[in-house]
Amino acid sequence: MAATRSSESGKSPQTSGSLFPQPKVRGKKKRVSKKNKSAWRKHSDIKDIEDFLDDQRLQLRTGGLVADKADDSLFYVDKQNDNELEAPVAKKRKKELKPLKIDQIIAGETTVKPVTGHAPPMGSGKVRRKEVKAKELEKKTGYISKERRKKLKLNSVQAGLKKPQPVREYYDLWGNVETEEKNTEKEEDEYYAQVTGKTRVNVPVLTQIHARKPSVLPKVEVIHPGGSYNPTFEEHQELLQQAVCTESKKLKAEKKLERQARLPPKREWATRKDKLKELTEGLLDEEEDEEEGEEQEGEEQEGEQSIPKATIRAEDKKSRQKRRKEKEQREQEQQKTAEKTKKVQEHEVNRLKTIKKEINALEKKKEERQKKRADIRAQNADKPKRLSRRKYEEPFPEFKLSEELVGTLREFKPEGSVLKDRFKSLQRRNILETRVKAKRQKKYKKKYVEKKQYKEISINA
Amino acid sequence: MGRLMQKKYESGAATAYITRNRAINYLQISLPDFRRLCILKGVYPREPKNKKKANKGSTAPRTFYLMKDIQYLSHEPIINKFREFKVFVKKLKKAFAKAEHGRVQTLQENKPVYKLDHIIKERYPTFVDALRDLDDCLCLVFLFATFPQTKNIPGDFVQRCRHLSVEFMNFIVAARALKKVFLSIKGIYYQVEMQGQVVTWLVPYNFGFNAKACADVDFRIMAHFVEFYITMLGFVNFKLYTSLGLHYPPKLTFEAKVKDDDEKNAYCLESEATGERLAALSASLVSVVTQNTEEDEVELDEFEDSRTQEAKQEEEKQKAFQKLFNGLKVFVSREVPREPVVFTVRSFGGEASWDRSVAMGATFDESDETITHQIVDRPKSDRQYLSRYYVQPQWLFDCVNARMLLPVEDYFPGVVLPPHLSPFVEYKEGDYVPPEKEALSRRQQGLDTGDTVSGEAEDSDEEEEEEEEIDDEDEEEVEEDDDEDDDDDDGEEEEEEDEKQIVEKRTPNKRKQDEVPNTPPSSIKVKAGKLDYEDASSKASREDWEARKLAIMMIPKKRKRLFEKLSKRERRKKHEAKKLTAKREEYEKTQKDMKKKQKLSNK
Repeated sequence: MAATRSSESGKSPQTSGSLFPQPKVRGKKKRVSKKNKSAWRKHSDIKDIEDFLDDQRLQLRTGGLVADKADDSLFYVDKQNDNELEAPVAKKRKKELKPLKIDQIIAGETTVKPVTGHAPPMGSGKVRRKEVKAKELEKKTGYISKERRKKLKLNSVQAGLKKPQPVREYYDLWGNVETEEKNTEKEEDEYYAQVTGKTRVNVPVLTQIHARKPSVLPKVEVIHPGGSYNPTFEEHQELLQQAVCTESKKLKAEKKLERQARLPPKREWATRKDKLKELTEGLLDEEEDEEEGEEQEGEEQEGEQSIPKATIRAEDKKSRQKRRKEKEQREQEQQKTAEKTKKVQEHEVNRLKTIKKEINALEKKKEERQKKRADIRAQNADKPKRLSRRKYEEPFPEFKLSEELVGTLREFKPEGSVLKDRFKSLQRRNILETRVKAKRQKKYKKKYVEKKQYKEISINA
Repeated sequence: MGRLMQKKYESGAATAYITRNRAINYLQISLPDFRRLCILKGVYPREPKNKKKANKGSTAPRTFYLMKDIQYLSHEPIINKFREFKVFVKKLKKAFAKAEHGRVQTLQENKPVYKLDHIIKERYPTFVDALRDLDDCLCLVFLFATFPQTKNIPGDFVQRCRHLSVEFMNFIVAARALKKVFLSIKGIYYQVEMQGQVVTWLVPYNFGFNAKACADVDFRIMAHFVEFYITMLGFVNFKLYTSLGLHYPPKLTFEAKVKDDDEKNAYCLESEATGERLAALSASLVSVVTQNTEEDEVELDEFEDSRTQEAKQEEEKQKAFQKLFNGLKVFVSREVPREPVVFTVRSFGGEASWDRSVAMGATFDESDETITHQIVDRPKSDRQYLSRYYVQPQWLFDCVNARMLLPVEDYFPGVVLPPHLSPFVEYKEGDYVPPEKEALSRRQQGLDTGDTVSGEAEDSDEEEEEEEEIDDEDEEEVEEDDDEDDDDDDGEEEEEEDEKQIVEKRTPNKRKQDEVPNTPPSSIKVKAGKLDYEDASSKASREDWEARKLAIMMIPKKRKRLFEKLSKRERRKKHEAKKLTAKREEYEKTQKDMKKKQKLSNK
């Protein structure tokens, strides 16, 4: 490494001698091994070379190499009397004459140009990208960015962003209908840029379609004809029947839940004895067994005998020979099956017809399954989708009882709330997910402390 | 060794969908802001086909969005405005806390606002798209217009909703676009047709705000919807007005202003007064174009084709329907809900007014002799004019749904009204059709001219008798009407001169056709017998029937099952309908018996 450095500098070949550190005067020469590269590096002293190079670099920075310079530029003839130097100058004046330390530091002969306040022409990546984007936008839509406007001293009207007339709240958003011409994309882009100051992004097609029709249900579902304020007898009865149906379903579900959550009858409840038995399960078994009659013991013994221990007799043990033979047999069988499958595969060509049949059958099955799924989907098309943790709950249909029907508009009272109806309709049409209002939970429990104030304590009490 | 194992959940449903929480992190906005953004942009949650795959193996129920949707949302410039607003609120809070009032003011003056124009343009590229999605918009805007201003409803939403709804109603009146009205127990359903698009919406009755009925509704979310719809309806209104050549924002004609001159010293500002007058719907609007729109219609070349003729007939019918209440002068009593009544009358060419003390914009007084109908909703009124019909409000709505003027007798005050049928029901073949509807359809076809149901004729007679007993004045009126029905000339001779004119005016040709004099029940006679020839038509029908039977016999076995299934369904439907009619008959019979009994007991 050091060698290459010296050759690079090419100025002082004699310094290469320093690669071999000269023995120091003091002390004994320390012997170190320079067997490998790392050891070599570690023990070779290159400080003087580095110093020399540093000095040279400094010279280059501050007005070129001294060795190259002419003598005139380095020396001058001192013609002044040394005594004159200490001319009587007022202390204050002396201070003024003396350059500041900071100036002295800066004033060194340097070829490096001073740093100016301007940013480099290309700017940082972010700034550059922003500028490029703004330029693109201007070219495309004529929108002048805020920075450019500032530079050009234009206000938004002059820049063509706003129309000079007073801004109306509503205007002709869709252009002329009679011409039936759709706005060109360029116009749309321009419009978008004028309103938002950004470039337009195309709406994903799927989003467009879905936003137009998130559900097959109509936007406003008209109530059953029995829901007229003055309905016909049959239609009103029909509506009532519907209400009864929903109510009975609800009741049934409630009953089912109740039944499932009901306690078992009292005779099935666990008694104290049962509980004790459960607690001591497995502990007192042996003792109890002993206490019980002999008959049971006999039974138990029989039971024990029924589970024989696994014993291997000497004649049952497999010999090596037997094992080997079994292995050979296995291998043979494998070979046989492999051959057979190969044969079958080779003869598969003759089975083309049946294979075709099989494929057809499979495809038919697949189609059927697909059809079944499509049917199910079509059936559930008008049902709300599951969009969140909560299931959508159908609101109870509005109705009026027969005695509540007054027959005139004056005495009639409306039923239900339109706002709720709308909200539920949005949920039913998969526009809103079902949510339950989050209850604000109290962070800490309220603490009640009885204060014993002296006023409350009276002598009488 | 083997091929590289593909990692799970790095493609397919797992990357196509994104959960709501992850979407919020992706967009770096708060949950309320995210919900608002989704509502404004029309991005709705999705249900993945395979939830487990989309949820990366977990089966926990979550809300999913399409990743593409969220990426698209991230480009929305409004997100920046949301962030700006957040900063604004922080600054404002700080300024408040430091009691820097000047700074608070400057901050509030420079409050960041966002516009929804580009979003509306994006979501509805053409005007027809916007009209198609108007149902929801109208429902919510009309609903919010009835709300009180509470802290739950931000800004001036209620006022703006009211303005826009009034503007829209004025347009419907001017365009005569109303098609159906249905008074239900929930509210009033209206249906209009604009530029070929049918729009239905629901308006609540004017009652006090019931906070309890909508307790579990997320008000904030509904407000976001309303925010979007307000902007949308504004643009739609503008377009609708300009398409008709009307001035926007709407201006009332000069006459309307002059008429209200005496109200000028009322206790409100001029701007408020104009708003009220506009909301009254009683005056017509100023158009930008001076020429009459009705005159410059393009006359199509005539082709003798059945189809074009049908279309022509349909068009004529439409036109006649639009002029249903032409020439009617309706006075609305104070107990009647004014807005729906005036809206329906005005959108079919009638004139409407009310008592000056009720609301602004009344165009004529009760004492006006040219009034043809007065809408009353109480059984008995103290002062009555002979020159006009007193009817219950349902008459108007039933007329609209029947597409013709119905006889007023069934709707006199105190009379038990015929049922208000839903115009939104379409009856299929084999369905049970209530007798009222059948009678109506027969009347529409011009087959039946008299009373609605045969049973009801007796009822109405009875009621007339009852009325005679109750009120002398009523009796006079009824008799007068009967006279008119019998013979127009007779009735007119008896009356004063100015009344004659009114009667002539108010009985258009159609009604004359409708009200053919009731013939007295024919006495029983014995007639000479006739030879029973086989009728050609009956023969043809019998042949038809035979051919049909043959065709059925020829159906292959494969299709036969399906055919039987269908015919069975049809039969069942018919059977059910029969059952219902029988039920109805029985019900009517019992009702009649009850009435008779009551009468007897009264006597």
